[in-house]
Amino acid sequence: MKLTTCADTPAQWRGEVLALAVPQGPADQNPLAGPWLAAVDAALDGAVSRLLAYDSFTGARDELVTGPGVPARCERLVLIGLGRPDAVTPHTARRAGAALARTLTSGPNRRVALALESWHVDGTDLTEHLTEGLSLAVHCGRWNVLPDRFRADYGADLPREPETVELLGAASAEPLTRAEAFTDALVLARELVAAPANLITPDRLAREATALAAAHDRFDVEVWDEEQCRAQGLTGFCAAAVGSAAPARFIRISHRPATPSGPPVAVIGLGLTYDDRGVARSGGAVEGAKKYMAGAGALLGAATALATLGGTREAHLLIPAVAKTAGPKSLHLGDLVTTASGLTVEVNHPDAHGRLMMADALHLAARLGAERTVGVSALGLPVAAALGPKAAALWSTDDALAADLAAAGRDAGELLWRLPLVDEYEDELWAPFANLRSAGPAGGDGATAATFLRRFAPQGAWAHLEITEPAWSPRIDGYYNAGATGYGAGTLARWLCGP
Amino acid sequence: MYAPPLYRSEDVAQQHDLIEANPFGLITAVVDGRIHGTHIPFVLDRGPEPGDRGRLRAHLAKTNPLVSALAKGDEVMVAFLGPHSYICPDDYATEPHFPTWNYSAVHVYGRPRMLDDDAQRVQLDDLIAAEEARRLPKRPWTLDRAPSELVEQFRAAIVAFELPIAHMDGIFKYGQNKTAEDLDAQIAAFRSHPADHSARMADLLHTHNTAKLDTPTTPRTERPGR
Repeated sequence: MKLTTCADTPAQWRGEVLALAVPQGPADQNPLAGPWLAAVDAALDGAVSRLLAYDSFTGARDELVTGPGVPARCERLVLIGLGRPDAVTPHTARRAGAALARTLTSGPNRRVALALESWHVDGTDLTEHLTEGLSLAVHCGRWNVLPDRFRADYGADLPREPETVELLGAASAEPLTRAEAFTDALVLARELVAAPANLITPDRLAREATALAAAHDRFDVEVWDEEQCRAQGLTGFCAAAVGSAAPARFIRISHRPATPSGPPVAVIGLGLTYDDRGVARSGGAVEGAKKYMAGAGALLGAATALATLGGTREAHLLIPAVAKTAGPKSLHLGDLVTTASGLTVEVNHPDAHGRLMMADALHLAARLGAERTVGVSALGLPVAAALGPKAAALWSTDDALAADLAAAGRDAGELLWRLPLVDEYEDELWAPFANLRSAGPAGGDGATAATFLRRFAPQGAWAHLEITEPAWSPRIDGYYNAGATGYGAGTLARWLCGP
Repeated sequence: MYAPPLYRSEDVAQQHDLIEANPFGLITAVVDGRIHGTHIPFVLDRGPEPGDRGRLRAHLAKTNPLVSALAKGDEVMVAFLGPHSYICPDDYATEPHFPTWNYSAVHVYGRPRMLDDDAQRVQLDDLIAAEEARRLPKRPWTLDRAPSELVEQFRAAIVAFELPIAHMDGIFKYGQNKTAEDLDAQIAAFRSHPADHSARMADLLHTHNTAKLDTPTTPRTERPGR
């Protein structure tokens, strides 16, 4: 699918599917009362009025009508509602783009065009977001990047990929480059997370990372096996890796711009490529075995955007990867583990692996001199009771970093909601035989897990995103496909590629 | 090391002496394609036989970027600097002369090995003992005088390593190219205005802590003589 800008007006354009995105007017106002749509309607010989005669369409958010176009000019006409101009966000624009893609299931759709009265609505340039939503919906359910194509039947209701999508009157092609880069990031993240544990092992993650880094000059990659991790003193990671169903790997990708500005940043993506308890935690769903590597998936996805768009800061991307299974050698309750930082941890719950992996990755971030460190994990923390399935929890020691991430998330259509770090919860982690224990009381585990991670955070700004719930969608929803959503990749990509 | 033959030292004992007198070295290694350097004190273990190059032992913060390279056993270089000074042409007996710098230095090369917990403790004890020995006849301070919790906390944050010395370069450039007449003049000049290292250290301590030391809100006991 080729995304291009095009100087044609809707009247001049020739192709198969012409889509018009229309903001909602004042209450009960006929959309044709707007001068732009009325002019387009006149130029298209009344095709818009004919469409609106059969359907009620106000331009409300998520609204869509489709019908015949004008013979020999466009086969089909689609009207998409953008919602009230003051309520248009990157997220709603993405959903509008996805709605268009979802009409491309049948009929001719080789050439598609999208037109708006203005690509700026209420100060927001929608070009990037509309096209990204469209691209993401088009990529739904397909295995595009990874060679493991084990699903042959994509289903008839999936969008068929058009040859070209032309954005009529869009001024600059730069948002299209960004949209494509961010789409690629999410698609890779989705595929990595959706692929099962027998395909995506820690070593496979390492090979994907190595291949990605090898293709770009500015990347540098290093993969440590368990023995090398032990030599590097990553004892917490090694404790989690003992009993891994497949050999564990610690992956580091470093991106070095030609002229880096400021000190380096570090991003950690937790990679539990398998989690034997995850299935139980997910109520027996197979996704539970897959989604606990969503942090690693999101980070590798974001790395592809970094390769395309570049960044201004030196960035270290760290992925601790373990395939967690129960076994005679794996962690026992009560085990005492010394982490890389020297802090000792008493394992008091069966899901300590992820935290220990994060702890050592945070230590390594400090060793790499990171001034700002962001962790992304699917640790299965119970935050969804309050946030629901579509928002991620954000903890941070630094208001500016939290605001930067939330802004990147808003741009990416990923809602990050900041939760408090409460000093008193340190007491919940008191352990009789170690510096701290791995988990607090079950009721507040999200809050105490964040407190636990903060103990290992490097000096400087630190933030953590918990994305277990939004990493997986039970059904097709806007620009999400059913299954892995690639959540987190959009936020990280924008933050890493940002100023 | 660049060292013209006139100044180069092949004498292991002489180089060891320099390290022991100036144990605060600069360790450098290539980390991720870039040169890193850190200044840390070293303990020198001379070999049992004369002429043995021996080994160095040291510790640093676990979060030091060099730790990755040390753990891999990558080759590192440690530079030790002896006394050095600007040489002023005015202070020679004859003319003409050009300004220069007199100095001595030893560069040590080797592949490090990480030390285990017990050996780390020994390294700390040995380093403290070596430094305390310079302050005799004062009673030497030993690590067991610190609260053990504090020691454990500190030890958990560091890693120790040893560096068997594979190669050592030494330079001792102290006017070997000058005549006795000129050297006598230089020596006399230095004797007449001795660089007082202790006084200079006091000055540096003050300069780098001006804000802290000059804040009137911090009550400080007046020391006698001030």
